[in-house]
Amino acid sequence: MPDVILRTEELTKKFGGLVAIDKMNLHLMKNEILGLIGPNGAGKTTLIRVVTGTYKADSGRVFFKEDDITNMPPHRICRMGIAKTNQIPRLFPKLTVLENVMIGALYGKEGKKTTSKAREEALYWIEFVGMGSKAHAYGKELQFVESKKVEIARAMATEPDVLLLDEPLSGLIDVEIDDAVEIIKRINSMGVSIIWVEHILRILMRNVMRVIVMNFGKKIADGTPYDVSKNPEVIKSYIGEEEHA
Amino acid sequence: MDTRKFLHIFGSREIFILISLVVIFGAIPPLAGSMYILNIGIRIFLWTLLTQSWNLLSGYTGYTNIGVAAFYGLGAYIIGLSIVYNIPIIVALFMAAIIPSFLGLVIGGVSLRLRGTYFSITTLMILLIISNIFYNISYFIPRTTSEIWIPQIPMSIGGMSLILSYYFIFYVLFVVVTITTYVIEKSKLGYALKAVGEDEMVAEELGINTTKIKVIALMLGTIISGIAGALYGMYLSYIDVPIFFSTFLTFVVMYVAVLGGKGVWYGPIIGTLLYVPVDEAIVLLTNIPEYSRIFYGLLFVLVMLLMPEGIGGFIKKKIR
Amino acid sequence: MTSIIDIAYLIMGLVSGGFYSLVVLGFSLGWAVSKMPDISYIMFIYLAGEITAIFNKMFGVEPLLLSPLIMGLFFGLGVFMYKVFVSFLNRRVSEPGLVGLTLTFGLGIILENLMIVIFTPDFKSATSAYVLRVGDMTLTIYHVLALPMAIVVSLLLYFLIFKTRWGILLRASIQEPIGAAICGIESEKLRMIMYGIAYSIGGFAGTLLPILQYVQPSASWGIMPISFIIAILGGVGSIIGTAIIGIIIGLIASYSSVFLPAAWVSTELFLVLVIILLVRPRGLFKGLG
Repeated sequence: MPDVILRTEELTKKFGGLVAIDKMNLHLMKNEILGLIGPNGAGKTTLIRVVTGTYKADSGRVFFKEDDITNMPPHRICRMGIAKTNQIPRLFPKLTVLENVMIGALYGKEGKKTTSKAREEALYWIEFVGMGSKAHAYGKELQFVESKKVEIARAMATEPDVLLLDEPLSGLIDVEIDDAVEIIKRINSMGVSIIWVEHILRILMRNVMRVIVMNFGKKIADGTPYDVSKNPEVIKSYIGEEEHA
Repeated sequence: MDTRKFLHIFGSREIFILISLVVIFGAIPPLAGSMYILNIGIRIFLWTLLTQSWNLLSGYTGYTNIGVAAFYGLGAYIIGLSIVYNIPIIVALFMAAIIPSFLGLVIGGVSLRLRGTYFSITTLMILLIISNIFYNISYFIPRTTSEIWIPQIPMSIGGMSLILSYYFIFYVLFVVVTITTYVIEKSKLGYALKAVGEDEMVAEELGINTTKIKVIALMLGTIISGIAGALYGMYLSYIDVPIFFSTFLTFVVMYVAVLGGKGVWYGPIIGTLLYVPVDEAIVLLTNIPEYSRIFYGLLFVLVMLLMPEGIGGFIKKKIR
Repeated sequence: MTSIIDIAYLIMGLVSGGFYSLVVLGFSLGWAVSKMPDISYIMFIYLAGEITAIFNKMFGVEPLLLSPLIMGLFFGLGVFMYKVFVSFLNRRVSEPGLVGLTLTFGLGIILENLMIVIFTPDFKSATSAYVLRVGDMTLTIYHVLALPMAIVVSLLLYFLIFKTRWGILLRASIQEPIGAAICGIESEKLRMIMYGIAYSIGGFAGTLLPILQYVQPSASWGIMPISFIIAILGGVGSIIGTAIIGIIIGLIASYSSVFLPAAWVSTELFLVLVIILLVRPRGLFKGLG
């Protein structure tokens, strides 16, 4: 399928005896925003980490633009055009926001780039997420929501074709949420395909065209937000979780 | 490098300090003329080279190298053996740079993929193995002992005395290495090194081939140590295992670098300026060296308590 | 004839191995608990050795009698070191390893030179009233005790850390400091006590030193690289790992002199260690936390 930019095939990852992702088949279309939801422990974050090469897959394949990128080193995968943000932002604490994003610009893509060019690009992305005034603040000085934005800027500086967002809205309050959604949509409109892992379902469902639901490492549903929300297995997986809560 | 960037660097405070250092070290000791001071100067340059070579990898990335002396000693023995076997000095110096870097490539390629502590232990063990090999060198190369006396090379640059010539050579190396470290720190490579030191996994995810970066930093460091060893061996006219492959030295290089501030280009210089003169003063001023050694032990303790990031790191914090 | 020689090497190997294990057990556990390697610890061992040697030479005191006293004193010393330096550094710096190493180096220098001034730099040794003859060798009771003591101490530690309630709390506080705090565990106090225990083991090793070998204030720098190697290869904080590697090293050092000229012992030893490292880069065993 020519429009599929990223897909996994029977992807499996185990941690000792625990199967975190279980023969997972997922595909992401070009220019799509794909929602990825599921109860805690469903394997969403693990899936992202296997795709980016941070974790090694035990079996199965990952294809990016029809290239097999399974188990490639993370830096190569990043340079090919896949970037991610973390649920809990990991900025370089003793470097400034500018330096953080510059590193993404300098190394995120193949080819030579001068530091001044990287600085220009970094400043562009920092403005893009609205953090221009904090460009010279240190990573560890930032507030939570500011860190999240900078992480997005840093990821975008690597010029990705695919962006994997791991719970970008978690920890944000209403105003910040609207802001973040705005940023995500603008990124998508620039031609970046996005997988959006989220827990705050209300917002997600309103902003994506398609949703994949995971539970226990497996895909249990794949369809439009409406279809998925009516899927009995999906409901059970969430309600079941609530009963334990 | 475009001119605008050049001017941007040129205006900064650090460049001013860099130039001052170059000028001060170039002008004053030679003017003082005393052999004793020149000798201390050479020692200072040597220690700057050693600590800076440590700093390039370990200061920025946090992969602690406790085998600096391995490459230092290797450089010294290469020169020593070359002179004994009548290999031209230029060739010898070239080998003193290349062979340690090749060793660094091999060691680094293998052990820099492991976690930091295991890399550290590997470097220490390489030091011990190499020092043993050279200690027993008579088994490998007949009629060679581990103690090498080489005739003092009658070097004279531009009519300067022997010691002044050596001073000048070490000075040039000091300037080159300092400027190189400064340039690297501000360059693309420097950003990668700092990223690896801050969060290696994230650095990798942002496109940095962390192993390659670490190996490059290690190799640069080993070239510096190798050449430093070769030149100092020539200067001393005497090479043996306890001096050049010293485990004490290899640790102290690290301590001095940490004292001065790791991860900044001027850290090693500050550390050396504190360590060497105090050490020399001990020998000179007191009859009981132990009292003064206690003093410089206190120096380490106090600086680490007050400025755990090293004096250079502390300054860097304050500059902001 | 050959068999007697073999046994001699075996015994010497086990004795050195036992001694190394004792030394590094405290070093390794202290490191695991404080997150930094403590160089002054090795120096303090030599302090214990100096004191033992002096009392032995001047008053004919049997080293073993001094042990309990020294162990008690060293426990207090360890607690003091933890309170003053370790706690402070851990609060100030997130990764105190290198800073602690440098700071304790400074302490080590101070100690070494104080010892030189007070105790003189002479080589000192101690003699014991209790000797045995084994074949051709004359051994003191300390030689015989070295390995058994190391094993006993290891077992005691193992029991303490893994089988008692106190030990479980300690391990919890190391593995999950925040979670432990929430449960009301006073991590700092537990670690402080563990550090004191580590130091008293060191103190004990120190009392053995003048008999098994000799003491001299500057000799401590020689044992330092080996201590690091044993600690890391065995796994920092791992009792079993440290004990096993320590004994292996003692044996290798002893046996190598049989098969190879003495000059090569170190090389062979370290080549073996390099192989261990390549095969099992994690160190042989997992540590405390």
